[in-house]
Amino acid sequence: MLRAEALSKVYHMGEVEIHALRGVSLELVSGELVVLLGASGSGKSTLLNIMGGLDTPTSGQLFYGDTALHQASDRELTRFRRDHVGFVFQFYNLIPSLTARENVAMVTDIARNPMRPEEALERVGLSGRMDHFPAQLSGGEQQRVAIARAVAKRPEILLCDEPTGALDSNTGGLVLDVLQQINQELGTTTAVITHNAIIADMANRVIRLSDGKISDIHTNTTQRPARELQW
Amino acid sequence: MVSAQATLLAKLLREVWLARAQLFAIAIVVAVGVMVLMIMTTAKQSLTNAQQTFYNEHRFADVFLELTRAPRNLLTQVQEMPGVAVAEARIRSAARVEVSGFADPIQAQLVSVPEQQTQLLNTLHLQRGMLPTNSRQVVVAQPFAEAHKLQLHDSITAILNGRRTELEIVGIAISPEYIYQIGPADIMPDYQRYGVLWLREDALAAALDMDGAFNSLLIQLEAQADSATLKLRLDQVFENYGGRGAYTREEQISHRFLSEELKQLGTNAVFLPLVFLGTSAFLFNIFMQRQIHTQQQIIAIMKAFGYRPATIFLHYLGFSSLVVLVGLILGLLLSHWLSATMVELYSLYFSFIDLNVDTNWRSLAIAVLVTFAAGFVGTWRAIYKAIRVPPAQAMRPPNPPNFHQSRINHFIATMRLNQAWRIILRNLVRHPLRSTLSITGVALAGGLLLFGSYQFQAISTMLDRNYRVEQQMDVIVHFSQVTDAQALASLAALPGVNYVEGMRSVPVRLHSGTTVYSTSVSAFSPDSKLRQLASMRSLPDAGLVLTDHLAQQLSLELDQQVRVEFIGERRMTQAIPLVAITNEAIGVGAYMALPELNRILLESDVLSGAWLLIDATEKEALYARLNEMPQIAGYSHIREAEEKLRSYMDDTVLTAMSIIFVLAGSLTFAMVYNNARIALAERERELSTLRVLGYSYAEVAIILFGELLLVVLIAIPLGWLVGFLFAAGMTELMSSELFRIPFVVSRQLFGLSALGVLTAAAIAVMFMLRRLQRIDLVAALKAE
Repeated sequence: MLRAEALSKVYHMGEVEIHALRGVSLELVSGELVVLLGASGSGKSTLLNIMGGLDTPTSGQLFYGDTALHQASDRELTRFRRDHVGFVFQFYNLIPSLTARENVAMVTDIARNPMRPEEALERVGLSGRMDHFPAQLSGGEQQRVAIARAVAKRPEILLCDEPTGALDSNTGGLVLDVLQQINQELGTTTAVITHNAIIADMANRVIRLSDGKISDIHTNTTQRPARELQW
Repeated sequence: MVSAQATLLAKLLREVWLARAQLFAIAIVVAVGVMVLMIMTTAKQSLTNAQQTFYNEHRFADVFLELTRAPRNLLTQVQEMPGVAVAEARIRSAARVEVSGFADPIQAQLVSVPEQQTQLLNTLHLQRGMLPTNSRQVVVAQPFAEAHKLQLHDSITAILNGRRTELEIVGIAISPEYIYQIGPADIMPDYQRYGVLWLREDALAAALDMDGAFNSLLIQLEAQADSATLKLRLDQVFENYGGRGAYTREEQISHRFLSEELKQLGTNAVFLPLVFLGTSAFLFNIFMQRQIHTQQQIIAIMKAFGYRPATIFLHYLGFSSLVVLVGLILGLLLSHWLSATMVELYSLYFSFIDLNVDTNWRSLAIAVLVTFAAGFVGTWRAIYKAIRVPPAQAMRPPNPPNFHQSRINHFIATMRLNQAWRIILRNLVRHPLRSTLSITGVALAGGLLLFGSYQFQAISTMLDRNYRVEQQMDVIVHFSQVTDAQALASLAALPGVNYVEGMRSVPVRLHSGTTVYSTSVSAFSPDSKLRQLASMRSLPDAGLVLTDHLAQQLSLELDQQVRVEFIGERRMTQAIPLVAITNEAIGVGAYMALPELNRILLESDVLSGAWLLIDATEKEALYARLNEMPQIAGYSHIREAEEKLRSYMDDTVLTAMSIIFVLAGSLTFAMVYNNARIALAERERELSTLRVLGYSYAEVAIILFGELLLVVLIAIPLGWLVGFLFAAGMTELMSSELFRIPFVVSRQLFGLSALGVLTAAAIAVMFMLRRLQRIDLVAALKAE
């Protein structure tokens, strides 16, 4: 579905060159849930950003189906994100002036084949809080709105950058549980970045990154339900 | 502590540098406010000082009286009247003047100076030369001399009572009586075609047959004298001598123009700076709120390190102080430079002894105080809140902005809008004060544009009406005395004359109750092709027509009888019905059909002047012949006066309009740009999120600028209203006997105002688009 070949990314910070990625090749298989595990600075966020069309690689190739994303224009990348990718961020990034329902509608308004915002919010267990503004929701609830917003357009790929990074263990578990359900029920290919090794247990595959390279790929024979995860 | 201060200063300077564009935009608004305040008050101060000096040093009279002819011994009687400190009699007359090398007709006012003793009142200020010592010598007014490049010992010809007299210029002077020199029928000074000449009394007495007599009286009052009672007594005494009614300085042409100008300056000195400085305070406030919002954690850390709140407050006050300082210096520099230009401009229209640039130090102090207060007020509210938050709380990441269910938010939810417009509306509603002030600021700018362009359009309309519709003659000729209508035939025979119409003008006093008004009745044929009365098809055959302004002043209504006292050669009083009211824009006048006037005055078909249509190519030949005719007291070429006026207008309009555009444009720009900067800073994350979710650059720009667009769109009609009200107010304020500016606000003016606001907003948006493009999506997402 999404295929990366020898991706490299070099940032120039003043006079310093930072090699965030050094030749990463990987493929996301349709319907799988992948956890990208790595310490801070391992390159996992850079990889996710490139795969999501937020950034372009310095070298290497990236294909979504037959589309070459590594040489796509800003306009084409916007199109790719709009049609195929859902994002979940560490700090939720909800629009404060819109209610939960409207935040989801923000995406369904421009999507080709979306579900109704209400349906998306039901899926994340927030049917009772649809008309609340972000300021009136807890962190876990805000993150679930963000997930509803990400999946409402029925994306092929769901990319989650430290989705539990700002949450406590219980709330985090709840959020991951929602992600796992979505993956299983809708078959959305899901990639979760985290530095938390425990979360790896819920994945089909675990990819470890260190120093801009893939250091290990491990397939779980059984996936633990996210609800059982404790940290 | 010293090094701590230095560190804070470094922080301040670097942050000011980072926000330089935004702060500079605010500084410009401050600068414009200071500049306008200083220019207006300096001009007012300079003019007032120059006026007072001139009046005092050259003993400007308090009461004036023009009459036909009175014996000199009446002066003693005047001097003994209660309240009279000094009285002086003199001779005044209109005349024609010729300057060699200048073909156009020149009208002049001849004024006598005493032969033996020195002048008592309205004394001349000789800039060069001396007073005349014999009847062949003359002192000319300085602007007239300058316009014709006349030097001492040059000669000019005066034509008085049909007699040509060659005069030697022995002095060039100005007088407190003629600070503003304007011809009797002019709207603007024309120094080439109108001048004031001072001759020895014997010269004028001889020419006008005034030996032992006078026709003009000047009076200086004692302190606390009652001028109203004196005026009544004077009118009684001089009733039989053709007195035209005593009047005070308030009705004296030069004084009145100057007073109007000073009044106007006073109004502008309050209103315009208030708009700009008020706007700057508001801009400071939103800038500082944002600045402090982003620095909440820094403030917390400073507090945690033990900085006192006062130190922190002073640190942030540094932002506004620095900007105010820059704006103040910039404004003062601009005003210093422009005040001189402004005063110079005034010296073209007002002749003073010495018109110095007198900086109004009090208003400088006010400018400093007000601008710093604006900065302080703008900063105080924002900082006060931040300093009070306990450090521990401030160091936590801020909660999402508190939007909550409210009636208005619920209402927005029910509207059929896309999410982008919901965001826009909710943000507007969330900051009602900020939104209101933004709208007000932009509306004021739009109003300023409409109001500014209105003035010029109104004056141009006034000129159109006066010269294209009401007065269609090319040349106006005045006879030396009332003449038989057969004189028209000889005028028609002159070279270049295509058409002739006769007219008659008679001085009158109009009585209504206790009110008396001195003016003259202009009479012409009801079939006149050259003279139309505004808002009337033709002059009625019988009855009196008055200008609306005059009818109002005399509280007269249609069909009422007006007591008309004729004070020309034939004196009589007659009740004449007011049959029509005309809304002529220039001057106040009374009109009658010529045959009717002559019938009332028991005279045959007589005239006091004529209107001509001429062939411009033959005007030199015509002038030459007119100059030779003793029966012609004077003539003026009205078409040329119009052209001169219009070319002057074109020059002035362009300059003034550009200034107004810059003023209003900078206001709009600063307002929109600042709002956009703040909006971008507040929503960077939100906008990045939308970009990541697949919203295109253009779609995101709509959310950012939609709010501004809405502000501008609401502000435009409000600006129209503001400008409309200003225009109406000014029309009312400026309405005087001299002229009434017609209240005409055309569609173009509304368009111009909207266009100006939209252009300034578009420029601000273009600046912002570049910034929007530079947002780092990933970095913005990571930020808490």
